[in-house]
Amino acid sequence: MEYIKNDILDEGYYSIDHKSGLKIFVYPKKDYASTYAVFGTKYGSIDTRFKRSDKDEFIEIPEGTAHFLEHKLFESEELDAFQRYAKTGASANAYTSFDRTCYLFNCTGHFKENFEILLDFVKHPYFTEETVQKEQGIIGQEIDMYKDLPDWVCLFNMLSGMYHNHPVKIDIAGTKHSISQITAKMLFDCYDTFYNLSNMALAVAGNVTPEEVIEIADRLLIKEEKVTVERAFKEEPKTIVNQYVEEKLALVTPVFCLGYKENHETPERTIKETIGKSLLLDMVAGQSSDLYKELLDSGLINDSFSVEYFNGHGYAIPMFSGESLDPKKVAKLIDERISRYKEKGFTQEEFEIVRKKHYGKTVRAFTEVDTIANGLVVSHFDNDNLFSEFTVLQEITAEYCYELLKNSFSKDLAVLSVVNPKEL
Amino acid sequence: MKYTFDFKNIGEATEFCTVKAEGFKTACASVSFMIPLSDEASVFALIPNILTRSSEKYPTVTLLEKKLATLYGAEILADVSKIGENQVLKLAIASIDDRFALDNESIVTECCRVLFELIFKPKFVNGTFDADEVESEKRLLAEQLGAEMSDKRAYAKNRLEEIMCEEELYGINRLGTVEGINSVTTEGLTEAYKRVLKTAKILVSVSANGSIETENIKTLFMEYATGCERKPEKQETLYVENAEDVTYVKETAPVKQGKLVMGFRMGMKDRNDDYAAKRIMSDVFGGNPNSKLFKVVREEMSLCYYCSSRMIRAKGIMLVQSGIESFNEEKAKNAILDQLEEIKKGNFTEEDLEASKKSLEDAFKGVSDSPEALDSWFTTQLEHSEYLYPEDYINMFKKVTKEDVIRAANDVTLDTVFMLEGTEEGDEE
Repeated sequence: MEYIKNDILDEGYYSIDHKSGLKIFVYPKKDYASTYAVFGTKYGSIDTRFKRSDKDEFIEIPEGTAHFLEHKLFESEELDAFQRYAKTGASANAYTSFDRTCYLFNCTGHFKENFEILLDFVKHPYFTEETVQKEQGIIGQEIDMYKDLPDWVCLFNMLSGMYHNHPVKIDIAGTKHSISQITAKMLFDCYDTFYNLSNMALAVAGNVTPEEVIEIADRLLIKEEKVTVERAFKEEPKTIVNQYVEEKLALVTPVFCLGYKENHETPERTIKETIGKSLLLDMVAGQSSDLYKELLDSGLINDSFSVEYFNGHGYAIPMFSGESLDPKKVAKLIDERISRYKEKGFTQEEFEIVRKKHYGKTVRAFTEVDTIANGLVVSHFDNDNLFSEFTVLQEITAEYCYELLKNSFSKDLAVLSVVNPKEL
Repeated sequence: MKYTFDFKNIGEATEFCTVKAEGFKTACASVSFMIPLSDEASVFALIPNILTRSSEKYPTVTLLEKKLATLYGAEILADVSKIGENQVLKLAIASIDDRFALDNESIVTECCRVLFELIFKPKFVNGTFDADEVESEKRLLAEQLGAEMSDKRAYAKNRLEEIMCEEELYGINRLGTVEGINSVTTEGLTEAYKRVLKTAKILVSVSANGSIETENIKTLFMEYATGCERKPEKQETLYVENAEDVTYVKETAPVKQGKLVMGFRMGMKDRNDDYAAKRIMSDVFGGNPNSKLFKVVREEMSLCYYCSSRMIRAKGIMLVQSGIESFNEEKAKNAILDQLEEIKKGNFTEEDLEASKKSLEDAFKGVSDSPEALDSWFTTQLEHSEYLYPEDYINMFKKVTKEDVIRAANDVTLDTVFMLEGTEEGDEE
């Protein structure tokens, strides 16, 4: 057991290599009423082709399987997990993203019982053809709901315009067609591959001690032989598919999403690169930038405008999104501003302003148990530690960001996705 | 987390409350203005936005954002909500605690100063707000209303409230209407701002670490507020106990998923009328994953991804919302009403009742862990200056029996059904 701390933040947590093969993190917050636990696997919507280290063949699974599995894991032969949590009062949930699936609960009492439920149901899959069938109606409605949401559709259209092959472009929940092909056997295959303890992480933050956590883990987790997973992504061309993608939905103000494809030698971005790019994006068009004011004053954007460095395994995109009556003009102005920055650079003052803003945001993140626990799982999957972001923000320089700028935001790799109002 | 709550009257219908905890590493301050909800909602709804855009001292959005960035990314929030038939305009600021300042600055007090500056020292040009900024904020608010129309779940809920409470003030959208926003003039907005300072009930709230001198912040507020002539106006919310008959409205939209919203009257004479029993009843009905609506309509019948009920105490109504295949409308409606009947007949277990009490207790206890959650907990009680603690509610809920829940369910009548029918094919199978 190792204690990792940060003196400036006056915060720290325990990192435990549990004998079962699972990585466990415990972040005590002794004054808190709440405790939040998250049990996650590095398995998300982009993992559609893979094989276990001890098997010969690659398996290809339908789009949306990771998310489908997440829904079904709540079930068991007897009481489902929600009914078990109903006896304790915890608020429980789960989510699937591009690269992970996480099961969580938040509680202010009965931690021990809740934690036992979490470890137990995640480690005891129960899938039958009948229950798989029944879930298709529920997830089908979830898919339809997302297909009506302009922001969601706009993002995925941008991703489809950008990536020829990378599965980040597929909807996390899949399609009604793809999920109709899912069988109980497939769910077991995926489970056996990805829900091996060596591919998972567990984090608990809040009113809890490492001893409480370890005692329960010792009792409930059985040692598992390590399984490694090989993922097979199709080769992704360096080019984009379409520089402009448009769709029509029932909405009032058009929605847009502008991204710049980045091609890198390695599939994952470091925390330093991620922060550097986020600072750059904020300097270009964040709320304290001149461009933001210009766009706002000229009626081209509204409060929904935001910037993000969107990245994960095999994809990395500096991105601008929001609502606008003239998305093409917004894209043009952003592009011009980037060129100017590339030519002339930015001032130290501009840099310090956004750095201070991110610093404050990072400090604030250490007060929320859900942010902390999820952050622990994510940073573990990224082979990082939770305080890296904070440390990087103290050390990062304007020169480093300028170097990053010169090698990204390539004009011929930009994709603009627009969702326009459907005429009635 | 252990905290202390303190509350003082500092002027006519003006209150100042503080929440302090040793464990807080962040802070949050807010000023809420409560005014009667009226057909002038649009002009009032613009006020939080125009005030947080600039001020005399920070005349452009860029200069204000730069100031906030130097305060370590302090965030300003402008919000408009409805508490019963009152409109609440809220301006808030969230920041990190002083101990993280890189140069020993007093971040929290400075944030409060910025907040008060925005409220009391707006950028006036010849005695009114800046006309260009007013036009810009009108566009932004109209687009915010537009976004709520684009989001069909929000749209369907807003339409239900509008239709159900057509004859009541509650039917007015908290942001007013697009037409209302478009007709606002610079002079009109300036006049409305002055009227808010004069007539609103005001609550200032500071939630921060125990080491922060909130007494200084109170003095600071009073200095800024000096000279405001006060003549507060109050509006009592009308409670309609029962629905006479069911209103049904259907609209269509080119979307894939249909949205069903059902509005019920809860049989309440006022906000305290059998409140605890009604709150628990709404939860057993559709408030959590163990509820009737989740277990039956979603899990057993596979009709939807979401189906839940929510009680709006400040108006004595309950809304059920669900996203469904449009052709399943009758099936879903009947299933929802059947589940209510089940509760009326007492067909639920003691365990279901306990599950609701426990989940509410668990959630309410967690409020104490963040300054933002506590700020919102106390400030949403400004309508009656009651300021009860989460524990007070937990104790109230503990006393609720199965009979209480059955009685509460029998007081419920269906008032309005709104269906937004999707005319697009769902995703192909």
